[in-house]
Amino acid sequence: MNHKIELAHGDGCRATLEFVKNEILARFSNPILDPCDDSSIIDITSKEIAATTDSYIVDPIIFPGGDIGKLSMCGTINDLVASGAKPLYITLGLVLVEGIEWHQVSTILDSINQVITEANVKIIAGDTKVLPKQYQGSIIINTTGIGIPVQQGKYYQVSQAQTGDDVIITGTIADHGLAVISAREGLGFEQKIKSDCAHLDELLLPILTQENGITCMRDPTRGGISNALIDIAESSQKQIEIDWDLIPIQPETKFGCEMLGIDPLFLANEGKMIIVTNSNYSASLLKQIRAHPLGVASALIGKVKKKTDTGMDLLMVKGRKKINIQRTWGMPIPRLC
Amino acid sequence: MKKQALLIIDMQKDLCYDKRRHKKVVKLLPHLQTAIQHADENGFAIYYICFELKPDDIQFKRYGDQYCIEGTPGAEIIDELQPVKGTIIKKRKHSAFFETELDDLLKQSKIDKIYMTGMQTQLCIMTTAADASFRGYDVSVIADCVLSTREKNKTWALNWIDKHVGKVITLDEFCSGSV
Repeated sequence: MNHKIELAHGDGCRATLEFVKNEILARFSNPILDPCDDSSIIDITSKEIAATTDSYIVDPIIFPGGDIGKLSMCGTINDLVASGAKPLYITLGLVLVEGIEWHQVSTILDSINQVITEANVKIIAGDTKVLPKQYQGSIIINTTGIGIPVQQGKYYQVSQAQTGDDVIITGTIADHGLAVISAREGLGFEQKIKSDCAHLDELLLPILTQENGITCMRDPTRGGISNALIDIAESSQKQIEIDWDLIPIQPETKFGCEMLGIDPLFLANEGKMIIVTNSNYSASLLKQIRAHPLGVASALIGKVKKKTDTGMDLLMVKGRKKINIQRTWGMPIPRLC
Repeated sequence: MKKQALLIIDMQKDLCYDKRRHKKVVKLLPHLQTAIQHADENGFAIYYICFELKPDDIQFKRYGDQYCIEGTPGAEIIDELQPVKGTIIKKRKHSAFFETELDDLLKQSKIDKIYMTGMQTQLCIMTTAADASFRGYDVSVIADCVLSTREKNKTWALNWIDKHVGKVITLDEFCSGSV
């Protein structure tokens, strides 16, 4: 076995076939995938399906708390769950860069296998291409996820937040963003802060089967909770007010962000969900979420309010001040980087 | 009594003889030499932390200049600190612990207290102090023996270190053994 990925592994010839057989099918075999036809045939009885697609790049590809394989599967699963769907199928597009170490690819594929096994999701189609080594980076993963509503006719959209709703976050914020920056730049925070990368189906699907008061959900990945909350406020034509003191954040993440000069509200989370819910249900929801290991640090962080003439979407109470949080053009650049 | 180490960070030719900070280095050197002498005379372990980078390191794109490339004279420790009185540790990133043997060496020597000197305060000193603290070391930064190109960065970084991950002390306190 070669120790590095070669261009031939994406050429469609024998190297590709061996890669697909030994690395892909050996891990992800199932009756839908195994025929390796030009397209897979899936039998979905549901009247409605949820579909999502995403591409994943991260540097480094293996980081404290996860890797790009785990990230891609968790991200796809969480996007489906955010819409109120039970994840069923995922497609796996791998774009590898020539020269990537074989053991890294194995680690990433093993992570994918672990997540889909835990979440009972099947890989149903895939593709592998290899880019010449002059391309920067080492691996890109593209996925499409398919799921069906947990309750037929019941799905969650960011436009549905209602005045008076409570805003819940299912755990500490900004851990993924800080862990990845720290691992990339060698800042030392990777000793304490691991990525929160996790699939939330086990935490949230049971809640979605019951009367829950939830009006919408958003997984606050890149762009952090600020952009996710602004998405909700804009789409719902509301204003959201959060309280800085109520937002769960690990102390090391907090002062790590201070060191880097970045606001944790803008750093990525990969295992958290923002849940907007009718306030009558908040206490019982929080109790249920906190009973799960992935939701122990969940908290009620704010409230949905009527939109005002100021046009502000997201306000944050910090001490005696109310700060208008706005989208930035791109990800804020850390002081060191 | 805690076993102690002195870290001297990034006192390399490319960084110290850079005209943007050379005057500050000249002012710093007597303090640093005093700290090294005190550490040497009192049985501290001494580690010189040095960048050793490849010519295509991603940092160069970010900062716009090249420095401390492996095998070049610019990567050497400055003449004023020769001969070195301890172990040289080569690093690729800001933290002196990142993928280096420093943690293993400190643990093998049962060292649990670290004093930090060198530069730059808001980059390698700060990240190394945080990393050391997370790994369980008692960290002190000797304020007279660290520098930043911009003074306000040094002040800000020392405040951050003092608040979150370690103590900021003076050279007198270090030499008197009071901290």
